[in-house]
Amino acid sequence: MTSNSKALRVEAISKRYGKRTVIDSVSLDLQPGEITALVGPSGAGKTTLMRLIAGMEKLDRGTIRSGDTILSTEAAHQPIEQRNIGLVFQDFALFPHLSVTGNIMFGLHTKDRAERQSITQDWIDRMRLGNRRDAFPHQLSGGEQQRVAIARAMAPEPHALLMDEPFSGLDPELRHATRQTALSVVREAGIPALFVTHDHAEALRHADQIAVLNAGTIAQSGSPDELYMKPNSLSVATALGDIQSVDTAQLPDALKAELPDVPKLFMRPEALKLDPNGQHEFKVIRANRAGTLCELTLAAGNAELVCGYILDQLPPVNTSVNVSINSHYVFSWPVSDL
Amino acid sequence: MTLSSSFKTPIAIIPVLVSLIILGPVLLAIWFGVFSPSGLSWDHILNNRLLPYSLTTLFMLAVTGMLIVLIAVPLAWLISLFDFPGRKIFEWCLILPLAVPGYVLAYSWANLASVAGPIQSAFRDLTSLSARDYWFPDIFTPAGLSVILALGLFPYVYITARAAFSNQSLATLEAARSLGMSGIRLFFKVAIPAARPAIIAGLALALMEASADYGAADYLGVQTLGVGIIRAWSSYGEPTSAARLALVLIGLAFSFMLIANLAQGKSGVQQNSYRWTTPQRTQLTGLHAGLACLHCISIMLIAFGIPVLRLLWLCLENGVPRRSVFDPVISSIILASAGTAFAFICALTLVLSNHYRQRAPWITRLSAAAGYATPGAVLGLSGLFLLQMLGQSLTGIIALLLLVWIYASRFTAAGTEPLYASLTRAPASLDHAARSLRVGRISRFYRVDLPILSPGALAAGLILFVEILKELPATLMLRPFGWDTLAIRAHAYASDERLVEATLPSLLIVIAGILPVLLLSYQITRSGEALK
Repeated sequence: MTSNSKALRVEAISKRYGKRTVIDSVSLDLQPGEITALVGPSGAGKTTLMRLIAGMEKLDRGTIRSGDTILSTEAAHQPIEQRNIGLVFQDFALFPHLSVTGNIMFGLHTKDRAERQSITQDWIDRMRLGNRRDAFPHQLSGGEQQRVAIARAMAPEPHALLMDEPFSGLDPELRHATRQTALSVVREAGIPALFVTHDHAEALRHADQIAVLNAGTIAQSGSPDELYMKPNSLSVATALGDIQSVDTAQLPDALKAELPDVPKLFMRPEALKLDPNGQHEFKVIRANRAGTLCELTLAAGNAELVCGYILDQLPPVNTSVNVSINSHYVFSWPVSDL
Repeated sequence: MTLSSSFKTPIAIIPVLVSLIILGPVLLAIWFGVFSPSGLSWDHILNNRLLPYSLTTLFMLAVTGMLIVLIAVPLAWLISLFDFPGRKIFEWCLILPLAVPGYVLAYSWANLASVAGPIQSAFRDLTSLSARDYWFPDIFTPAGLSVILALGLFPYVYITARAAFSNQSLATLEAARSLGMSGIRLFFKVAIPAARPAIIAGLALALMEASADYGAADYLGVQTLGVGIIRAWSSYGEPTSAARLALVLIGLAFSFMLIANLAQGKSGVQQNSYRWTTPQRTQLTGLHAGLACLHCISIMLIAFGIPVLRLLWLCLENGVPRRSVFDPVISSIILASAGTAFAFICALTLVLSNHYRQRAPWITRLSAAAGYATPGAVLGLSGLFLLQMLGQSLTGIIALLLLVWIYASRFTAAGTEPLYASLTRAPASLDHAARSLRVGRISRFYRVDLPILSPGALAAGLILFVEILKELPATLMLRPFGWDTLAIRAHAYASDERLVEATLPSLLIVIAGILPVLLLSYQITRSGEALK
């Protein structure tokens, strides 16, 4: 499927609704075979950006191209039906009047009959839908509907795949398996793929590239590791995991000495480490299990900090623990960026 | 590289044109009412008739509305929240009175309640009183008309109230119960206030239909505005006076339409059948179950069973010559088919344009509702004006074409409802999905839109056909000679005191009307039971 391996380039695009600028000079490079996650708070313009790329909306400024083909400029707009970009919707949008087979075959109308059937059969097998081929959408489980939606979008060999919160409608236990299937299919096809999500663990775990959208602009984009460890702003740090703000003045002096000299700091839960040799003494206020990690609320000076550890045993409340600081997880940004 | 510029195509004009076609007769009636010079009879009508017509109409509407609420709301409450023998059957058959046009109910009950009719005869036989010795309610009065119309129209409120009661989150009722409320207090303090917008919406539609009635009022000799309009045209021969009178009726009907729409917006019940959860019903036993059952049976018998059986009895007993309805059946089928086809195309255009355009022109949303709200007598007047302007007489094909146009104007809204309902299965993303799979506009129409619309299309066609079949005033005013429909024939015979001959066309209309009602109740019950 190398013929489809074209990069999708979004170059400085803007979109206004009336006076409100929803997308403001956004650029994004989607490479073949790479999965990009688009994250950001609700109202940041994630869905609008996706709709612009898909061709459901016209842009006001900038260019979108697939390889050498121009999809959108301010002067010209290639209609959605000519773009050959696969779409997976949050509500799946399966055709209610067509069976699983009919849905997957829907976009293959340009192929001849034999080819249509063999491609459809291939996708039914890959998506493990063999025993559901004649079922109608309302008879399918959420995970099955999702797999049909992916097969339907991928069957016509699109140049790119866009997914709008594709996994958010699924039960947590189904979500993981479905996501695995879907993303491996996309990776195999070697096309650029973009998915919108508000689940930062999902973005970190599955994407090759993450773009954080905030108030219509790309706050930062890069590899998951880069964005998690070196967020350039509070909005990026917040989009990718828990973070707490700390008034430096409240901290004990010994601790302050180890930290940058700014009035406000931001820490991930990993910033404090339980360490028998640690220099700082904290009192345990609360201790809970929260999945893999245990969540401790610790107090020192006038500050209360939340931290996460892997622990076999929770420390008793009101006891003291020794702690050291891992400065990789402590951030500070100029006040103007907050 | 393929680039296409902005996709403003001439296709975008079509829905606006269709809207104008539907709105045309409405605007024409208003225009003539406001601007045409008054005829000789107008002073007479203004001084002597306008006030009585209006007061009678308002009185009739007030009593009809009260009766409808009294019949329909307790019935809906009973059916939604209690279980008793026969509940499942009553649930759908209580919609059946919709199949009987008001004028047919009027013929039958007038006959049943007349001095020589079976009820009074039986009463005299039992009491050995003579006709002068006792008082018996007179059906040929405004109050009598109200009873007749309420019996025919209460299902409008029954349907919306039942939906509201069934839809009321069970949690609300249970919360009220947990706070110590039960029985009657629960009904008046929680259920009714929550269902009020739905009840008002249904009631406004029912009263809109009541204000448009001509057949029943004319037969019962009640001088409503609807009757007045036709009188001004037929007795005084002055369509312009009729048009002035029509303005009052248009105002009234549009107000009801507005109320219905505002209330519907608040009720939040209508569209989403998925949220329709059936509350746990309380099982009634013994005397209570018997009374509940009896209540439903009585209403069914009074509104449907007895009047229809009476017509059937009269028809069979006297052996109505079946040949006499051949021609009207043919005329009815031709006119109703043509009207259905035209109205269906209009409805389909409007529904699709509103579904797929975020910014559909306001006119496409307004037109169908305006046409539906305008009484047939008023639209009929517009047809006459047009005929005059074209210099045509009431004999030719032009009159027929105008009549079909009037049908479309009046009933397109009735066709849009089921189409919209089937589109609720299709989120807007479906169209984007099809487009992203490189399917063009035309093939999206037959590969996606049509299959999704097809169940609604059947219902729409059936409803349109029967509505047009039942239509009386506009047909009365515009049909060319020799084009009597079943409704016209029934009306003519009944008005001539030849009730026996009116029974067969009336029964045929009822039988045809039962089909879409059954379909409607099947869909309502099914959507009620779908999805836990």
